[in-house]
Amino acid sequence: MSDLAEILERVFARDASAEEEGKLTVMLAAGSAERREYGQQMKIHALLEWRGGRVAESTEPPETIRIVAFPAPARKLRIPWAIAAMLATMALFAPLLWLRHHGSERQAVALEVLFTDRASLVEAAAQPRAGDRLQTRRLSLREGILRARLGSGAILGAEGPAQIELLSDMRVRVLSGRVTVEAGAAHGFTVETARTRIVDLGTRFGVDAAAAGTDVVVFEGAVELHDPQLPAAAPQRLVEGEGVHLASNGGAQPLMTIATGVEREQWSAGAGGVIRSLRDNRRHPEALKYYQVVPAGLKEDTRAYVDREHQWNGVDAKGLPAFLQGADLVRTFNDDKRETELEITIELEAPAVLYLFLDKKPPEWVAQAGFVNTGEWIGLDEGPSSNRAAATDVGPGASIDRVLSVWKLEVRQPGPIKLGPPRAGATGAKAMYGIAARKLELL
Amino acid sequence: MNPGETDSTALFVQRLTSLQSRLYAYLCILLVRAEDARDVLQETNVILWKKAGEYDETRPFEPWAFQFARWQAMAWRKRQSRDRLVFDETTFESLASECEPEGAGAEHELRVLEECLAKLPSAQRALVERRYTGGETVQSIAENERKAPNAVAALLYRVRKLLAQCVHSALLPKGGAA
Repeated sequence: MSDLAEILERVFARDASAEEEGKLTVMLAAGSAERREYGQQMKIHALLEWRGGRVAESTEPPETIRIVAFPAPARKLRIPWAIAAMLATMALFAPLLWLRHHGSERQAVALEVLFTDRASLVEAAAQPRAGDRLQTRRLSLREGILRARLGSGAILGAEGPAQIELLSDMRVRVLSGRVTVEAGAAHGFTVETARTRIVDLGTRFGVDAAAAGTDVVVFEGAVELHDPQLPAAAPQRLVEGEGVHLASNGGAQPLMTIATGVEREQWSAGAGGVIRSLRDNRRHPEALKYYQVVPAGLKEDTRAYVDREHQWNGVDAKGLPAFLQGADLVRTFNDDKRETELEITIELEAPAVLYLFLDKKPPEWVAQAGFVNTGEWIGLDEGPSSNRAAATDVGPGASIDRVLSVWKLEVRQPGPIKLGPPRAGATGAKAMYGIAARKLELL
Repeated sequence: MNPGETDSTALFVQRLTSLQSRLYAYLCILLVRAEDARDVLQETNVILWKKAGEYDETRPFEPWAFQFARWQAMAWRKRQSRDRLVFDETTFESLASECEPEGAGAEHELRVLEECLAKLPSAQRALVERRYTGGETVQSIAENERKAPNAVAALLYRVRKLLAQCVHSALLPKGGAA
């Protein structure tokens, strides 16, 4: 029987050799017991594939995505004769062929494409473009970024590869890959993965579904988690700046860092750029706040902290110091500015210059760790906080509320680097320090 | 279309819809490759719609629908070139007869399968979810779990067998109730 098990797995994975296929044929011709065994296995395999939504991706032909309007020139839709004939036959009952998932009827969902970057969809012959209107029950994004608005007003973004089922304009199911949702007025917008439902509470959030588990990250607002396998102590609700990994085996771990890219769809658990990892000493299992690492992210008006809308800017019209522009940026927590026991450990991928942006007089550990003052400054344009109504402005030198000194440490041997607290005593920094890094080009 | 026709059309849609997953599974058994089963399922649906007017509502729907699936699969088999895995006529006929649903209840198999999955130990259920919902390959599961791919394949085989037995026994007593 083990032969049959092995051959069947190869057949299921579509990589059985001719010899293995021949062996299967011989086995099944040999007797009814073998055929019964094969029939059982194949039936359950097929039903599980169907249940997992893995059949529809090929069963629904490319033409089930319908581009109903697009900017001139209009593109011609490719409809093979067989499908055309079938559609003609089925004109009155067209939804039938595409009914899936426990027999429930599912209508195609309309989307308006807002933004694309090299997006390629399995379901569409042509690359989608901003302004296209799509009607589909599934988005299979091979690569690139696609951002689209649903009828509910929610904006769904994805970075390929990703497989997404559109269950309605208020509910999507992520089979694999990463989506980002800006629910807007579509309160209650729901993203499902294999075991978790993530329900919007007025927010922007991300979900990354993989075989090992699901990452849920909240960028703004809050979400509710519904997951029968979650341990009782695990969070049922995440708020801005929090992230969690829900493992397939039922566990839940906080995400310590999130790497983000230029577009909102570009994020992933872990660090990025020249920063390999980052952790701090305050974390306990229920602490869910994540640091954000933005490779090449330091530029004018970039967000400075995970938990504030404050922005980094040049202190005057000349802009940011040239050596900082395009550096990898770590968004820390401004709430940590009063911490006296904080210790952040950074590991670098390669030799690099590590920068700190420090308010007021630096604590002693800064010089002890080998950081030196560059003599340059960076401006903090502060947004609103709990006790202050303020708005950020655009561009260097505009609306600068605080000026921080830029310190640097050349790290030629990558290894753990420990950073201390922003203040040592009762007085000190009124802003948490910023962190940036740039790969050191060694001659 | 008069109200009576609307009702019978709705019933036909409901019956055919609820049978889709099971027709697909049947075609997978006969044709082996999932992509072939998908193609023939579409062809079968078209034929079933063309023949909808000939369906006698006093007779069971499932055998009527499955015979068309079988004929479509036979027609497909004849069209195939020799380089594909195609069962010889005797094996094909044997499989087609032996693996047709026994009595009514095929339309409930997906729901019953769900109930059977819920009865699995959590580790086995997690394995099924990784393989079938997450789309993870046996190779990748084996690497992550530090097991031999053969061991993972064997475990999946055993789990599918358990599920098959569970589905079979859940449907048998209700054979005539659906």
